[in-house]
Amino acid sequence: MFEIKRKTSVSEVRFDPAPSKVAYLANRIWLKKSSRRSFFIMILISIVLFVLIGLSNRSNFSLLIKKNTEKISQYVELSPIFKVVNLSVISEDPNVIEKISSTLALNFPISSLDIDVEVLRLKVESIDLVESASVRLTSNGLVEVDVNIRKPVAIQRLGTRLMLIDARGVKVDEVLSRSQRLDLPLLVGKGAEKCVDEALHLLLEIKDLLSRVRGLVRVGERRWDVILNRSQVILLPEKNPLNAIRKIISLQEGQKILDRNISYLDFRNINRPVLGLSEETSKELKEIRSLVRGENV
Amino acid sequence: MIEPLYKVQRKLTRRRLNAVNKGLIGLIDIGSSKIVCFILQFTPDIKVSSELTEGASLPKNVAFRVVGVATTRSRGVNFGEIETMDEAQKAIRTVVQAAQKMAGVLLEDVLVSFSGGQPRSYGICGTTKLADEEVTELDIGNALMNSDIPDYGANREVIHALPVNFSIDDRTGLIDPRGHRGSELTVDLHLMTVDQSVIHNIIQAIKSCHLDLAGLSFAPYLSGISSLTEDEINLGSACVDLGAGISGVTIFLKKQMIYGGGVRMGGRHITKDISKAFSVSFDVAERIKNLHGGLISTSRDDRDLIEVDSHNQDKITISRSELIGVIRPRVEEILEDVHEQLNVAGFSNLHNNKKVTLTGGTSQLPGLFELANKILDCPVRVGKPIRVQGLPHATNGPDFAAAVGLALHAGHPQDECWDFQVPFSRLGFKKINGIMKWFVENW
Repeated sequence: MFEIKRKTSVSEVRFDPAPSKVAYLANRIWLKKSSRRSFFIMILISIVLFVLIGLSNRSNFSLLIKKNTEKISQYVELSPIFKVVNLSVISEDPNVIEKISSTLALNFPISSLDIDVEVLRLKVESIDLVESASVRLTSNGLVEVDVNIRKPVAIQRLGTRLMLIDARGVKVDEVLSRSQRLDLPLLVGKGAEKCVDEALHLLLEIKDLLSRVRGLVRVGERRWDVILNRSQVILLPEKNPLNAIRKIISLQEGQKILDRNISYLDFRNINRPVLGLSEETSKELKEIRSLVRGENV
Repeated sequence: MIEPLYKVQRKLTRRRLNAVNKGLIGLIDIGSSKIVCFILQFTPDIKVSSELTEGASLPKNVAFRVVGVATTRSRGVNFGEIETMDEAQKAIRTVVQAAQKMAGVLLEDVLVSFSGGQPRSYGICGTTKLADEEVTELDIGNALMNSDIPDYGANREVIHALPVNFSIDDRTGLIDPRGHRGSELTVDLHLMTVDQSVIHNIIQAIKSCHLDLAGLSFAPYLSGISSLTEDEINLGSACVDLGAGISGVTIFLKKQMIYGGGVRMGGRHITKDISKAFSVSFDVAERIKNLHGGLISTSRDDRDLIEVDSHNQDKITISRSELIGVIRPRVEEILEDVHEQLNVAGFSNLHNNKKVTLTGGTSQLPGLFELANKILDCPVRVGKPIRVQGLPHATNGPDFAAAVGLALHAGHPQDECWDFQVPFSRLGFKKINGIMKWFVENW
């Protein structure tokens, strides 16, 4: 017993396997090697053209990108994660704090994305008072500035201006009058700021006489003069002024030399110190000598 | 107005040779049941294995390979002729595109074979005096030109004009007369004509598929080339190509086709008979025929019941012997017509060398061999085409005999009269019986 079933009903629309005229022609064209090649060449050319057109419109294009990215970046920048609300300066000196905040001049709140820490650090370090600084952003929305303040060790007088300088001779601040910082020694003369260290050492050696020192004068950018009250001047040598000072101090301790009526002590040549008397004293000395020797000078 | 075919045949030959030199040619066999497209690649380097050539008449010097094969159910074709142009074009487009896809190449030149057009065969004789006693190609051309044209009718076209025999003075049966000496050269020409409109339709269909026609051939002739063995072609044999719409008849002798004709009946008529007899649809009838068809009924066939859907959706049951009872008369009719045609062609004059080879799709009917033996009254065999390199096994059956023959023909075609130097202008008319008789008497 065999069974044969009818495969399709009459109403069913049969699929026509024949290609349409256009499809057939397209297939034949595609099979042609030359047309296939030219098709790829055309694609290549169109890509190149597209790129060229794109490049020529580049400014517009980038503007468009900028416009859109600005919106996005604004949205991101203003998000609370990146918000910076305040400045904190680690320092006890209110003067310093005020100076730094006025220098940085940050308009809070700002986005942390806009802050360049390095730039801020350079800005802070440009302040005279600050020797070095470190700036960082903290997670709770603060700009933290840690500063290393310069310490003034001396006052330098330039013309009529009085400067506070640190040990390296860098200007720290300016004062209006000497009396504001009586605790600091006064340095005068061209090039004095370059040898602050030496000057300080000299003053340390002077010890007891310190109360009498009015200031140090740099002479010809090579040696120091120590100015004492009562118009006394000590001229120190170029080389090894400390030795000279020690010698003077020992003379002072032994013979109270500086208590006497002299106008200067010339120690420029340490082997041949010169003692200068004041005019009055030298006259007196002459009189005494003539009295003692009976000579008429 | 399209030019007469014989005037453009030289052009077609040139195109075919160019295509073969380029190494690529397409073959389209327009049949009533299916349209086949082969793409052949000619490569002089291919070494044809001895296994393939054994016992087969593979043309020498030309090695080819089938690189693309496609078949489709034929549409708009009836009796081997294009009936509906649009449908036929669609079918051709389908096969061409599928074959192109398989081969991956663009098909440009095609050889076309068809079986319709009511072919008629004429045997013609042409004679020329030899000028310098040695036969040259020009002499052959002259002889061909001197032959009398038969009055084959205004609306018919010559499709084959094969010089089948040459004789010089009283020597005959020469295959190649060139270089022979003598005083008179006679050429026997086998002329085949078909209906003009059929040819024009085919040319039109091929043209509208953007293909270049490189040759037109008669399908039963090609079936004979592919299905007959060399001995059969040489010693004389008939080939009956039992197609769907047409049963082509060809007779071969001395390596030449000497007769071509056809019976306008085929496998499709059998299917129609089944469809009518059991009132089933055509598709179902075709399926019954292919699966259960036969010609010799035995007592067992009464009990072989086949259940089929009929037109009105009811299942009907038919026995196999009933089916055979429907198929057999039609096949007998076809074979009787074939026998008659062979007789008219003088096939019976071949005496004890009569042999018939059956090919074509319908030749696969079981029992055909016995029936044909009885009706044709001569030794019969069912022939399959020879194997061709690259051809899938499924397309190597007897139903592809014409297509395979076309492949063989493409590489190694028979000389036609227009391949000679002088184009023929006039041809005489003679009955085919005359040339047959002449052959038999002189051979």
